[in-house]
Amino acid sequence: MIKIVDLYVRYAWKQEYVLRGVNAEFNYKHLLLGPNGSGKTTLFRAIAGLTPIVKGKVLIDGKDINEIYGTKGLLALNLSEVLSLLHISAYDNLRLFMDLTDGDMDLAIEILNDLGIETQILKRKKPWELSAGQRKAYSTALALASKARNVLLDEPFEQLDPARKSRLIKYLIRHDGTIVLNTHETWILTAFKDWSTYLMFEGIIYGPVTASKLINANIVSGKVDNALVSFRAGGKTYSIVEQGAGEPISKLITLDRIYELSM
Amino acid sequence: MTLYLKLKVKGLLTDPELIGWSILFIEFWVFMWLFVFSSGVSTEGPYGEYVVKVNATLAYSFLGLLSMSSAAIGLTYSVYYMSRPLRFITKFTKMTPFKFIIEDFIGGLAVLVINAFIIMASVLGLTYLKWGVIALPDNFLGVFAGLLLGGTALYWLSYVVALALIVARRTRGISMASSIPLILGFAIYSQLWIDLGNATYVVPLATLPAILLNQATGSVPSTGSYLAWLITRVAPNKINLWLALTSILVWIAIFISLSVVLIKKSRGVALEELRT
Repeated sequence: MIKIVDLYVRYAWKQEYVLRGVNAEFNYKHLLLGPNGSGKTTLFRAIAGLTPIVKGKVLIDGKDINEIYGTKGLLALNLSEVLSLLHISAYDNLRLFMDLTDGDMDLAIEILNDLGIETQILKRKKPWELSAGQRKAYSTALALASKARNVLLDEPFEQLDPARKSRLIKYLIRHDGTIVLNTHETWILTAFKDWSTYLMFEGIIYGPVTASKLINANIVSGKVDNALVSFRAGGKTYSIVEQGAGEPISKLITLDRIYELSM
Repeated sequence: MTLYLKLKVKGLLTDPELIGWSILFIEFWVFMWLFVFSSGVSTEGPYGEYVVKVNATLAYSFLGLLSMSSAAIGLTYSVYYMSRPLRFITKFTKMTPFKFIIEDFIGGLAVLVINAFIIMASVLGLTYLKWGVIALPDNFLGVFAGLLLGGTALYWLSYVVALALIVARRTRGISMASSIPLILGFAIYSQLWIDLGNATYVVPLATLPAILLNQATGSVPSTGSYLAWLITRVAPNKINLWLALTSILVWIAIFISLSVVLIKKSRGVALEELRT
């Protein structure tokens, strides 16, 4: 379980906060939906202890992130920037990570082969020499196979073709443990209908709402009573309602389009 | 041997850039030293064989140090690039920060010393080929210990350079700053012609060639101008070997202490600020 309490994060001392008072609890399967630049990846980095926390707390299975060292099985993350340690082949890098996490090498290879990345490619190329799509699939496979109780997946479907997307969905549903999956694409709601969904806009988190409720919901301007959730984006307040007028979320395709709505 | 250690050594020793600059390029200078610059060296005369041996020792000491300094550029880059994954790995894998420091140090040091040994072996082989003299060091363990000290200092210097850039948030300077170990290597190399006098003791690693020379041949050289010393065998300013050793140990302690301080400071730098 990951618990986030009143979290504030900024990159440099004089800059504006990227995360502004985030409170959330991730205890099983969750989606984190938000437009690009809303702070989703920064939140993941803060949870993993990669970005200093200005204020607030991150607790993973009850342990403060600042006090966690050398603990395997607690958290996995699919950010490629943290998964390439040495100047070695992608295959050796995979071996190393599975060794360091006591992960499942067979599962990692199975996922990778299923996603179209053959073992020979892994042996021939360095992690950063893989294509962008391969790199994302590689780091996602690595995170899933590390057998961590909590897995953070940053845009795992990015640059995957539809066939590979559906194969990856199968592994995510099958995974036993907490998963937090962030994305800006709304089609994801139909693939993970029973997952609890948080929305994120401009460094603030809203929700949670079950994905199945959001699939057919509409976005309306202003604050509405009985809304599933209300949020602020681009200086305006919006509400997500189950019935009534407004723009269906499913029609947005990506939440980046929230700023194009003229309501 | 752990898998991390094995892959660290494999990764560095199979890096084409590292092979090119720290081995092949230095091998070219080994060839130049022995076959072009050593035309006046011969086995003739009462001290002939001794002069050949000292010449070979100077060659592998200085060129070995250059090779290690060159490989330290690769280490600086690896420290910089590892700074991102390392935060994650030391938290969420079996690799604790302490375990990482020990394993990475052993791996890095092994690569530096292997580089120096490759240069040493080629100098000894080519010396035998040209002069028929087996110029093996008198005290092999002493030379080995000297190379370990040199490697240790360069390893931690690489750390200081990479971490200083991270803490100062000046990571764009990595390509220039990573050459600092090599610049130091060339500064030490200049002692073949220049005698720094007592300043030798305050320049990092400047006393290492004297220690290697002493362990390999038993002689106590001057504080510099090694080529003049080779020709004349007169050492006007004999080096104090204990002070020489102390100088290296103090510099190692300084580099390690700085690394520890910088490691702590670097934790406050967000990953997003480390873009090149």
